Amino acid sequence: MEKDLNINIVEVTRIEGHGNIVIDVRKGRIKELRFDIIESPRFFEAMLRGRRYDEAHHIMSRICGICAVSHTSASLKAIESAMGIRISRQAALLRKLAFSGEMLQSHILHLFFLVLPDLVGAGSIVPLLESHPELARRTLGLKRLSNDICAVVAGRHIHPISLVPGGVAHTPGTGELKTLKKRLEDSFRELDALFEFLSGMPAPEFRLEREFISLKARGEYAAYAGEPFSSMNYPMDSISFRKRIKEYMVPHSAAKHAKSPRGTYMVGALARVNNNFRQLRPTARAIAKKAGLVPPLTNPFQNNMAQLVECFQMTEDAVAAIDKLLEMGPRPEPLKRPKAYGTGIGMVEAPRGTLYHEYRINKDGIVERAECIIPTAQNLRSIEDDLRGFIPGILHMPKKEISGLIESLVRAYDPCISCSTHIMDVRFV
Amino acid sequence: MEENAQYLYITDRGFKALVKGLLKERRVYGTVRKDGFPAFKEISGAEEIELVQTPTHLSAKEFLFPQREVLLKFDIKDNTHEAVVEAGDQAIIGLHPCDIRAIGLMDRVFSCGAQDVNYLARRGRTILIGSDCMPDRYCFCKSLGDTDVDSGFDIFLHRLKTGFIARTGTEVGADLIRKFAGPRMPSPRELTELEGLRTRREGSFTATLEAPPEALPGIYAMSDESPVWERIGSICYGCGSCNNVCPTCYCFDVRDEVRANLNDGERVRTWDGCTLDDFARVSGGHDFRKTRAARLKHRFNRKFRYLSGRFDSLFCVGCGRCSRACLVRINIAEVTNELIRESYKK
Amino acid sequence: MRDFERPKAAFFSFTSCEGCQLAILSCEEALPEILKRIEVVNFREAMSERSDDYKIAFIEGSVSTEEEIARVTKIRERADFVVALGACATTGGLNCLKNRFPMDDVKRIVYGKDAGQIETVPARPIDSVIKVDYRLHGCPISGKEFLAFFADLVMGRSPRTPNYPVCVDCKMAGNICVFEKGMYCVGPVTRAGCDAICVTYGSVCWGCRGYVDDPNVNAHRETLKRYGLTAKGVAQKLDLYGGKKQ
Repeated sequence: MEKDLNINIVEVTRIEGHGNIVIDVRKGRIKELRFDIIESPRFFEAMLRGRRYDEAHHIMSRICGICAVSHTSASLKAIESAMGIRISRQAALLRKLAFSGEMLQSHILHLFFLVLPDLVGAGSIVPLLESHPELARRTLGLKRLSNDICAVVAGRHIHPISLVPGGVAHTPGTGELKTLKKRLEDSFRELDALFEFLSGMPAPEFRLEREFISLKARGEYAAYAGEPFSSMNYPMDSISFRKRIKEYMVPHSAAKHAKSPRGTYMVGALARVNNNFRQLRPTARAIAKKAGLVPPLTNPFQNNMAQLVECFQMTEDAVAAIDKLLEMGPRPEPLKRPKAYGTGIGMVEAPRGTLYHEYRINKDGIVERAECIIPTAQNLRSIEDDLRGFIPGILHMPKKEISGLIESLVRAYDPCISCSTHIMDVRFV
Repeated sequence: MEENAQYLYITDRGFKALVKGLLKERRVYGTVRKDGFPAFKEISGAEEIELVQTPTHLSAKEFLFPQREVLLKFDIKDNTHEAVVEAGDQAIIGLHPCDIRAIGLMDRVFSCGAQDVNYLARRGRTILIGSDCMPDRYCFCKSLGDTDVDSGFDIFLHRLKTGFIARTGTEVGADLIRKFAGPRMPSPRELTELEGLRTRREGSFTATLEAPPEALPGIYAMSDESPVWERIGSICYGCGSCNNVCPTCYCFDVRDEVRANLNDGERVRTWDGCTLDDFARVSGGHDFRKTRAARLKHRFNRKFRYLSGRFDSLFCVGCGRCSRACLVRINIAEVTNELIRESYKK
Repeated sequence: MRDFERPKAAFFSFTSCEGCQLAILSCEEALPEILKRIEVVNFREAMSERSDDYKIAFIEGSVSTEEEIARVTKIRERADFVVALGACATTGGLNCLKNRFPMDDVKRIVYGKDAGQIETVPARPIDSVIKVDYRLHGCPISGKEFLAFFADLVMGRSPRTPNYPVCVDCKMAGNICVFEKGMYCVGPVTRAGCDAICVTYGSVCWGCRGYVDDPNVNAHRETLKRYGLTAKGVAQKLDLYGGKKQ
């Protein structure tokens, strides 16, 4: 179709942070397509320089209010790896529990506050509270529960408190853990309801072969733990990750873009389900199958459903972590002290994908250099590529619908622009 | 009654049985180590209690006069309200003599004039169980009169090498000991051990005041112009820690909290402290104790002078908590001694 | 039910992590009530609709670019009442850590040879650009404080800001002082209202609410030194959230 189209979406809404979409189609051909990041950069690498190691996690948590547990965890893993600290089993279980809480919280927030309005043609959740009160009640309950998981372990979910170098500085009581477990077990009902609703609203069709990168762990679904893995199956580990992934500046963006040796790749829930399908726990795997999310996956719109599959997974993970903690009998432990100094890497699967922190810490415990690779930055190239692939197929539609679909596609990535403007890596291609 | 009738011996098992018995019928707060430091905490089993000998970091006042309590619930729509008295049966175990004396003072404050129903309801349902202490370098109760108490408790326990000598101060206490702890008369050897403990304790005080307690109100009255206030005022944070850890500081603030529905809400009472910046600010913005020095002077005078007229007692029990909690090391005994020395010069 | 005016309110985010807006979205039970009482006309993080017609503006984040200076000024012109939301907005927050270096160095540290593409000015609290009517402190803000402020705002009562140090909240929470435990904090000079949650959960007070109105910073410098910090350590303790110097 020989069509002209000019779309300029200023500040895409219902995503984390500020981004514009600019599309210019002349005679059916895309002349220009940009996803501009207009968030103010914050310069975390400069902020961290010269600060003490035991402030680093506190500062880096402030990269993002939504994935604060992830940034804290990656930061702590980097500090601990640089300083020769091995945390206890109890501390690792507590961190994993908080991690499950955050992933659940982030996904529910995305699905309920940001995606559901699209599906029912509303601008926000406000009309949903009236039109779907039961669904709203259930989902708000799930969100409350996920907040409370983080609160029990870490004091709160936005900028967790007790997760510190050397372990976890607060020990939840047995009673609190038991209550949480009961609530988690009951919450499958609510997740089922959300699944029923979402599966009644199928994702737009769109197929594009792609590379997925995520962590992969032994014996568990990668979240807090694991080593990087590509669906293209070439060798990669946390040490080589920064060499494999090239970050580069593009003129229109305050955030860097990234590419793998194969080019464009995607990170996040869809990548994790694709790469770690076999490690899904039974309920989550059953849901994935029911939703048709069986690898190899190709449709980025399905990222929403992959997030819901992970809500099941995180709920099961949280119950399992609580069971182990109750079996051990949680008790206050001293924090492990630093034994060394040098460079350390910390990687986790944040809700939006693979997150990398690397610090160099000197013998006085001062951070000399910090570098991060953040999920959304890794997805920016994929978002633009997907838009390029997706738009020709919908050009026949009215402009308003095209805009709506484009925003939905961007939103499906759940981009966290607050995070991505805080890229600190200084190497360029 | 025989002379030693109120002295009974109970075994360690007897003590545990007593705690267990109490736990069946009421909430029990006991002394524990929190992060390694003596503290009161609600307990759910006798084994959690450790009868620590030095003062807890916070006093036990929170169990009678909580940091925050609801006094009233209201409904704006119906224009109705309902008084709330949050009181239940409880016991506090591990109170030292200074704590018990402090509760006696609080009882007088809250029943003076208009009776404070919330405090008194809670107090009426509370069993007080004391235990021995050993002074640390901040304790100076000996300089304020007695180091021991004869009343004000239901039961007082003196720890021996094995078992306890229990004194009962009320019928309720005596009943509890009989019902749960399997008491017997103490042997002369056990009484001798108790005497030994008391003597050792009397000899262990290092902090002392250099004037007798009855002289203190007069000395403070002469000290309004002392340079001491400016000096300690310059290092004071105005952080209120001395107020909050003090077992006899009873000032509070009352405010109405409305819920987000803008309809129902609660009137709550919270602790307040006279060393805090806004404590003496009144409507219109006037603050009649603007400086930290003025506020500290006020607090010290409340302990040693202002209330002694109304209640015929000093309001410091010598527990040393304020000195222990003060990060800039304002020490109540040392400050008082400075004032004493200045007064001798005058 | 007594009728209160249902004012139009807008939420804006500047240089920040957007955690304070999330803290509001995390008041789950109260959200429906809030939406009954105020008409939210702008909340980019959670809704598509937007409007420039509002009475109350909630602003999260510091000002750190020329564009933000212009934008925050526009918001002030439109709004009757401006609320600064969280540490970045009230004190400049952690963003001010970059102000330790010249801006050209800051850009080079992060963006290398592409530093020229990036525009930035020293981070600052919004009240250094516009008049602010009320401040909700903290990193992040406390949902409880937000709800209390919200009720006061809609009912027309004057809201309260705690003006006493974190030590008050900390003692009320029954915590052992972090200095006793061999750690350091800035609670004695930091504004309370947080329930001392960081100490309760095993950490220390980092100072995110900024100083109380009349902090004894000199006394605290001495305390930190007496407990073993070097002069540099003392300075770092005090400047983490020290955008607003005494």
